[in-house]
Amino acid sequence: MHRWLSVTVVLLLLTACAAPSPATARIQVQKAWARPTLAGSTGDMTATPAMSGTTMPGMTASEATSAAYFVIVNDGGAADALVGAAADVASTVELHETRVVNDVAQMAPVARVEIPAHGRVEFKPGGYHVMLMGLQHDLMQGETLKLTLQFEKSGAVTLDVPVQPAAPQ
Amino acid sequence: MARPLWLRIGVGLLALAVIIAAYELIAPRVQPLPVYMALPEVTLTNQDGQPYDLGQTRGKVVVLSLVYTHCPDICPLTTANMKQIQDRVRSAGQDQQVQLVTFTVDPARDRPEVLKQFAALFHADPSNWVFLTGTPEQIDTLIKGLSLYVERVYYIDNTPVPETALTGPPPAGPYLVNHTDRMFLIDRRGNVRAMPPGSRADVDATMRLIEQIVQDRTGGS
Repeated sequence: MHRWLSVTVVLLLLTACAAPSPATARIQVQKAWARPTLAGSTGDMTATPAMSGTTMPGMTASEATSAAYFVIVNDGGAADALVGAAADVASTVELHETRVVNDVAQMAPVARVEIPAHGRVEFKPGGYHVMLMGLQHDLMQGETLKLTLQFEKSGAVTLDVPVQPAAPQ
Repeated sequence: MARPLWLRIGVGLLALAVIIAAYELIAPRVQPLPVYMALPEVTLTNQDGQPYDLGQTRGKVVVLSLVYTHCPDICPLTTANMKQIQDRVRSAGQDQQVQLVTFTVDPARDRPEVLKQFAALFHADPSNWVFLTGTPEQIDTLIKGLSLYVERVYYIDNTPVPETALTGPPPAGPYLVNHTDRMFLIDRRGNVRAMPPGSRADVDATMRLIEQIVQDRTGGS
């Protein structure tokens, strides 16, 4: 009798351990990059002190704009949402989506981007991107900027974003 | 018994008519391209600061695009597509017949030296690709002549405000420009014959249109 009781308890414990835990989002951000500003786009592929912080005639650094791109992967069983972004390098940092409406291209702010469970969302040219406006200095090829993405459930994720002219392979 | 000559000629002509009719039915048809509008004749300024009369492109097929260099997302895509077109035109041996033109819709910020740097970023070959700016009035002539939509969007307290919705003078600081996302393919007489997408171009499809205009010696008349 005691033997069967012990077996039952063990089986119950095993069943409890095997039961699925509450689903959670597991967010990873991959392949991040940001466009160099125009003053940082030419010349050598690496920033040089002589070029650093320069602006083109007619353009001040505070007018310069850039965009950051990346791929968000959610390996978890629950959906999440990207709800904001911040970067010290820019005065205005917004989630944007490029839309072409009636042949007119426009970049519209979006409040949130859903990240489905076991899914991925790509931020890429011509689609979702993080707009960086009012840059404090030109973004030079070769430099890295800090970008913090705010997720609804997963919280803040801070990235080192390389400045380069195209997406990493 | 030999058939009479007139009967043999008649049967032959009938067979010829059937072959011609069948060819007309099955041969691929290329529809002639419409004429949308004429490229405005205005003198702008190229990336070297020299005057550039758009009328000087007469006699060449023109691929025209519009950009502003502060545009972080759309205009780089359009210009990368233009670069592909330049490379494909060169591979086809048509770089003497096809001129690429990119003009800014933001002349206040895109001065010639800015455009020159932008062109270099995309490895644009200046031998048949020119980047143009001008006074606001000159650029406006082109915008109106091509029926383009161009509107500045300012950021006030981190909120985008189109210039038409401003209640006061434009604020200092960054602005974006919403604009028509098309290219313009122009024949040797200066007539716009096709307006394919710009940033979302299907370069193969655009090249077929360019080839059709190159082969069209009537100039749309």
